Amino acid sequence: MNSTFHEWSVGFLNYSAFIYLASMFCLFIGVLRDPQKSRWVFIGKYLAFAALLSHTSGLLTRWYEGGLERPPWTNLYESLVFFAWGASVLLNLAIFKWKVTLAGVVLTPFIFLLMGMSVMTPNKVVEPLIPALQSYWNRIHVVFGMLSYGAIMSSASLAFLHLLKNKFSIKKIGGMLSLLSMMLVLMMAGREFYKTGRLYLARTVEQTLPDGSKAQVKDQYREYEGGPIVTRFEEVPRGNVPVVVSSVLFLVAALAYFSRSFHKIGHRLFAAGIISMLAFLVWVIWATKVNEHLTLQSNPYLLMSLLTAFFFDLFYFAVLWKQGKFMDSLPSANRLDELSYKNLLFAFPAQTLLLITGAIWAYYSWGRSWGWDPKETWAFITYIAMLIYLHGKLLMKWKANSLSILAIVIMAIMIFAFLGVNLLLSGLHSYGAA
Amino acid sequence: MNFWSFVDRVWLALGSVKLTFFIFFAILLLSIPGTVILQENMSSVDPGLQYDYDFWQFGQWFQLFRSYHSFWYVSLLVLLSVNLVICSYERWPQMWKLAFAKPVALKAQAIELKEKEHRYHSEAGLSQFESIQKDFDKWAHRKWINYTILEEGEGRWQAFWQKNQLARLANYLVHTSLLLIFAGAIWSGLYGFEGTLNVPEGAAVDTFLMFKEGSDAGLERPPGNQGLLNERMMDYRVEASAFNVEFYKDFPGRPKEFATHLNVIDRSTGAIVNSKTIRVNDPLEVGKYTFYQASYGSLGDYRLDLRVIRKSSLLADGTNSSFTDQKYISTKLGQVQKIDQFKTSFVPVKFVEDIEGRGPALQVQEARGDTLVGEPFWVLKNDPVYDFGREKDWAIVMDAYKPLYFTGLQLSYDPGAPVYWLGCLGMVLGTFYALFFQHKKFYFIVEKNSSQKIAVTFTGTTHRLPHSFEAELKKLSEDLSEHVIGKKMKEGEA
Repeated sequence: MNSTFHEWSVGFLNYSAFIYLASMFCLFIGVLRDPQKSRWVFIGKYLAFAALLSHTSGLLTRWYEGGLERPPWTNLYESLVFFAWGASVLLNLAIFKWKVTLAGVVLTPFIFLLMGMSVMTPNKVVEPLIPALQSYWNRIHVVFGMLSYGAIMSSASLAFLHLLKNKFSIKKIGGMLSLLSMMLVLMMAGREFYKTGRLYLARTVEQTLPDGSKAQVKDQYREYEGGPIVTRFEEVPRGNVPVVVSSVLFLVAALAYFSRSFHKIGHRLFAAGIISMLAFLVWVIWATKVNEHLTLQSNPYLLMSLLTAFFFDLFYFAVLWKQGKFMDSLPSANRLDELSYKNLLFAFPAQTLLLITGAIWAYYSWGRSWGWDPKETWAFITYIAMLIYLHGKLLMKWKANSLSILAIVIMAIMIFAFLGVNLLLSGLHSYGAA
Repeated sequence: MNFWSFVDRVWLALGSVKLTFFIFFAILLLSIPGTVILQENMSSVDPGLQYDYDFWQFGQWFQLFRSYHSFWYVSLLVLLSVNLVICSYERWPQMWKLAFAKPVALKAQAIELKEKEHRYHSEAGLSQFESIQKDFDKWAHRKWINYTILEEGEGRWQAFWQKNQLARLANYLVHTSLLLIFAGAIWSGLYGFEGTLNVPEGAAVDTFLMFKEGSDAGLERPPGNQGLLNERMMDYRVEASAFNVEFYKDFPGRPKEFATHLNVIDRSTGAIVNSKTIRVNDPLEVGKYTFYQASYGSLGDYRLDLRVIRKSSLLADGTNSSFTDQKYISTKLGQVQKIDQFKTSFVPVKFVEDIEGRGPALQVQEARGDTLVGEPFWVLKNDPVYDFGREKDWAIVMDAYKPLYFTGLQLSYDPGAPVYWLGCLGMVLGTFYALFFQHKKFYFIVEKNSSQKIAVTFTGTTHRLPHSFEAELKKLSEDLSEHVIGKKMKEGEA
């Protein structure tokens, strides 16, 4: 193992995460000032490009480090980086080719979500492949996953902008965002929350990595050789309170937004939800300070998911404030609609190939092509959702706004298929376990 | 209501697009419970032990523990197929017409109304009426455009060409492929089987544990109904003559490769039918069986290469292999070793990979017949003379050891596979063709004006992605302006 290359690659990737964050902030500030003229937008735009360069360099050095036979997309850390890369390529296309700079405001939080998660992953060692993963079909399979999921993210972001531009009720957008935020909070509460009603976080244990460095990782063991992985948990005292409060607030906010008579208090409820979500985060951070068995590193996704939801919700309030100028700087609604559709049009065959190449690989590895494993099934559910979109568009000529909402729903399903399944459900794709 | 009108109504309902969307949403929602609730065929845990009795009973009733093979899920898929077939049948004439209908000449007014924004226009002198037609022909020839003339004479000339007519029908390929995938899966489901077997290194087995049985598998239970309930006899006896696992050097416990040398033996004749070293992703096919390397595990046993020596026979040079009186044995744990020349018997009882940092160690105890006698003692591999301290005239030296594994094989018979793979291929090709190829129609019209001039119009239609088509149309108009008309065409009205 070449440690210099390893440091370079991790460096490139970690820096890119922070450049994405910087790009996001610049674009935010630009939106708040003047999306058309502000220098901040210009800086944010080129920062997004710089981040892609650093990101690509990181991936390439990692590939070089692992050897040609081992492409850098074989475990959860790498797939986070690789999937974020796909989204970032589309982001740069949106900015520089399709001239939808503001797609950056919507997409960068998601790319930062994935990249930030990767930064927080404790074990970044280039581990050699176990036999089941040494298949060409596996490599192809993951590439299609990256293409499909990246395009879904980009499609949903453009759909979101299309909704804004097409004068779709901003209140209902707020309602959708509250529901998404609620989904994220409930996902982060983890499997134990649904079993016991209390908030548990994975216990931390210090592990020496194969390269000699030490990392704080989840305390996990196997019950028996080849058996399922069991995680040891530690309770966050009264951690269930902020989880329940913020999800209820988000839900009530969404209901208020969607209702005819109460939508005026929607903003307040939504803001209260965001504050309680932050309280949840602070509570968890406090718990990691008090309890020596808990660290944020062993629960790498919590911080990132809540932060991303926070940034995204913040963006909503920014748009609300500067609605007029923001709309003016967007391309026409038709154009945004077609771009969103084109991205989904690209994602659909990629998703088809994701399912089929996965089936071929499973057929050669395990002697069965389709086994209804949760990860498989959720990819299939994503596929069905895309089928609904395409048939709605091509056969039924549904209205552009309904299709845009559907594109955002598809992304919510995709996020669950990509991350939620690994966090909440168990199955064969456990190479992806954090 | 008479019988036939009832049939008509059912036919219409089954072929309605509303039903399609209902099925889509139902599949989407009903796929979810199976990812949350324990599934019988995917887990070694019995749902009966996992859930409380009431829920278990409810789950049994609704077949929740085999969601994807339950009556409700399968009926949805059947309904989808029926809906798809009827929809496709009903729409075929319309689709065929859209793709292959004889093109109709555009009238000037019709263009105005329908294609205003996609229309390019220019004017030229009357003398150019013929030359533009000729130049157009040359241009089309160079571009491999095969056009037809829709209108000629009376001062109007209209050329027409189109691309990707079949894109209108590509969805039929996609949908037929989907039905093929279903057919293949049903065939495999009804007649195929899947199972697993563990073969200890060096041993042979002729049964396996079945976890999916098709009605036609025709495999019998072991004679006398012995063994487990889902145990079945294979047509062959499978021997794992060798198993080898290799680990990564820097990553202890992470396997790099594992492989089994399999001999497949005909049960009746005893002859080897086929043999091959199988690896993960590299299976062996014998008849209708395919054997996959899936896993491996420790048997908890070891192959031990031992030597029993007479202590007094040590030669002067003192190396531990220089004994005049010694006996080599190769054994496993628990096997009684009778050594006549030293008038003793012993049993290797326990093996430890590392004992207090002193390396691999074997615990041995003497035996009289089948009973163990005396104190157990240790033999250390890295310290060969360790056992010399015992008050006997013989001692044991351990030369080598190797952990013994069982190899975990997966076994399947999947008769529908060629059918559903064909379906997958058609699905991919059809999806690409249907989504990325647009049926495009182009019209090029030269028309005499009243004012001693001619009007040139270029326009086109597409059935999908109008914005990208606009760009293509613009490019073509520029090309036409340069090579055919010699004057720039303008977008919009005349």
